[in-house]
Amino acid sequence: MGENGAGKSTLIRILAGVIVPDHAAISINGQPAVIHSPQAAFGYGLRFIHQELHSVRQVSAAENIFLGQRYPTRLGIQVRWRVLFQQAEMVLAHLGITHIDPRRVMGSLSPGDQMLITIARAFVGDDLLNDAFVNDAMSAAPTGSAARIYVMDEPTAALTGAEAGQLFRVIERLCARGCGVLYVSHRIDEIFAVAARITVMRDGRVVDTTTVQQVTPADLIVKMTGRDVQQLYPPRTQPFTDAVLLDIRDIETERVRDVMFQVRAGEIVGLAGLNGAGRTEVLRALMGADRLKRGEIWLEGERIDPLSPSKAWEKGIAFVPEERRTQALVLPRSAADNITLPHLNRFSYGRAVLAHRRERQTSRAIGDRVRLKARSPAQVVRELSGGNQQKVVFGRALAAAPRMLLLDEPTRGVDVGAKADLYQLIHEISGRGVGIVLVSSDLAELIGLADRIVIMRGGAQIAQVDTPGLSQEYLLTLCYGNTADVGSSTRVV
Amino acid sequence: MSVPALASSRRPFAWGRFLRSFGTLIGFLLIIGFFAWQRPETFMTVRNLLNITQQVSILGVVAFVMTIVMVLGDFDLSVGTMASLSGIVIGTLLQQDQPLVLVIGAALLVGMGGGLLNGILVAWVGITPFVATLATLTIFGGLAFTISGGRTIFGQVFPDAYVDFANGGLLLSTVNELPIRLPNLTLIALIVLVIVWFVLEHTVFGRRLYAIGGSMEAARLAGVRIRLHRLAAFVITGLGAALAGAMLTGQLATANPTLGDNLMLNAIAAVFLGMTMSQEGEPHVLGTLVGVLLIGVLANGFTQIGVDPYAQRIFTGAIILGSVALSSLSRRGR
Repeated sequence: MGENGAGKSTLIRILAGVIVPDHAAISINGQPAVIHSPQAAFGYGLRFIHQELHSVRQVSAAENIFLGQRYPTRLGIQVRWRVLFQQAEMVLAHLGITHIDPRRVMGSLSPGDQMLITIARAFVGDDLLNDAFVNDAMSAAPTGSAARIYVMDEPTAALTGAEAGQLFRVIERLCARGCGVLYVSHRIDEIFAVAARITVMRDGRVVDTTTVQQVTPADLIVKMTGRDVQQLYPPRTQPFTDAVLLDIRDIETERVRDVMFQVRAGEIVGLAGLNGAGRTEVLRALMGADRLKRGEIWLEGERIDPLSPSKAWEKGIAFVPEERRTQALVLPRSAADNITLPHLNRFSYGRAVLAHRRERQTSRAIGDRVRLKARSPAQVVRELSGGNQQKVVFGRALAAAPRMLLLDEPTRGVDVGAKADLYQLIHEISGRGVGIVLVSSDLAELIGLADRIVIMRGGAQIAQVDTPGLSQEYLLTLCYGNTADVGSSTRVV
Repeated sequence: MSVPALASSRRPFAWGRFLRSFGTLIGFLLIIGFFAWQRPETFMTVRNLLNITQQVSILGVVAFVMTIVMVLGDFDLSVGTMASLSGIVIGTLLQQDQPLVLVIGAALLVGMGGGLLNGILVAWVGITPFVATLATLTIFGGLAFTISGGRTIFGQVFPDAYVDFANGGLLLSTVNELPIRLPNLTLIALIVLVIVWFVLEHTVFGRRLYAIGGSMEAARLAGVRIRLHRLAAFVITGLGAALAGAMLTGQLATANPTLGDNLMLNAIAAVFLGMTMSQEGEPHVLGTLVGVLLIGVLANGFTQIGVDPYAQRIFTGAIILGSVALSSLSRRGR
């Protein structure tokens, strides 16, 4: 564990042979190991599951699972697709994943499902699964040495609670078979659920290593941040007003329907639901990325649909998309460029010539406001850590005093310290009368931040609940769709 | 913002980074040094250097505007035949005794029209730029042949004012009673360079082009109107290609349906050479300028030391390859 920039990812990249260390003494199974390339790491039985999605979006899920492995072939030429798909299905089944058809094109899967596929990839060739292949009469199982050490960098960042649970069960089975798992996460509850020993890093050094029994979550936070993060979710200082800001009137797109709720000035509305329930798609409709088939969107008494992203920004709807590296950031450009991109008309003379000085000043001020750690606003975003990249995306949303803020998994892959920063920021923004719609798979976060939660299931809005007194368990039940419960104690819309 | 990122603060001097940024420039200076050493009395003279700028001015204009579409991550393969077509339009209209200003204007309009077609095919129809402009390359070339009937237009058709301007220049000084002139074509190329540089680096439009090139999806969600910007970029590139055709026709006092065809590959090579000089591998027009000058210096220098023109192409290709390869190698392991 450790905050962003603590050196966890660097450590993993050393193990993966991506970075060659200046000095290292690594031993595996008691033998000294020199890892100078990714191939060497693979040879030592190390398997990696990375935080960000690394997949080929254009081919099937099955091919992504067996990426880099030999496909089963006839005469070494013709790929036996049916066998490949069957094997993929088996790999998934062993991970307890049954809802994904491996024939589907990777890019058409939700980010969460894509992450499950990339996780499945790391298990290919492992003895856990070889059992299954032996049972398969046609078994020309894709080969690969039996993996022994799994390194997982924030594997649950894109997963829902249920999917994470599946992963934890797999991890348990691996450990029972004598495999080692190096598990990196920001989620403290998760660490306590899976880990036996915890090593905390800060500023590139190991701070402490203990067993789970010896520490409490509060201790861990102190060790990670070097300070007390007493109250992760700060109390509301200003209650929201009655003035309706955003009014969504029964909208429908290709992927969602029956969506109707209101956001009042200063109110935080959460969107809850399982992976694929249509939460992100509601936000996409509100930011003009998906076209409305019916319904109306009103902002402060003005009908604003049909929307496009440029019109949404113009109307004061700012957003933080789900995938910061592909949907939010222009990686080869500077932090300043990324912050001002949607607002260039404000940072120019006559909407044409860039006002560089104004741009620099604003991005510096915004950077301070979101506590961005960068050498300067001119630093290229690609070089920043995940949490700081997210701060750039937040900074962009704040750069032009928005009226509405749409947040899609705003704290995914962000450490505890940066999370607290972001929560503070969210409260501060809503305190200024900005309406916020928040999508999060972290139920504690959702309940901790939102005033009200809209529940989505299967692409449709099914309920709205007020958060005071709401428990995570109950919220989860609602997401799974226990309608009897919904009927008895919530306002069904 | 004052806290330095840990990973980057304790880096030793980064040779890879240095080579990545300056490798091409150093190579360029070495090549100049080599020719200056080989031909001390003729190569490094003001006259010869100005001569080189004139020789590359037409390529420069095409390469500068090519940079704009390549910033988007697109290509325009049709610039060469567009330049040829532009020349044929000029020659044909001049044969019909139309006034020069109108004729040049018509050629530039044809260029914008061609760019508009490219832009519509790429941005609205959704054909990849490679395929779309490969098709229009053939169409523009075919038009040039059809309009001219495959014949070369030359001679008295071209008014003196036009030809003299394209071959003349601004008098700078006189050495040994011979005038030293800044060629008008060089001047035009410089003006185009400054405009493209300003547009790309200092306008909202240019910033958005870079955003699209960096990530089309992110740019779209940040409110950039992708199609409009791509369309505009192709129109500008078409315009530049037509301008290059007009420059070429005036310089040679000849219009031929294949005259400009060679410009395309060299222009793309120049942009690629320039891309090797930027940290993130993005095209920048000043980098393109170095690429253009490199190609020009090689042609001029090789001729002076007596390398056979056919063999020159081999060396030029090898040097381009070497530069880009070096840059890719230094980029690896990041």
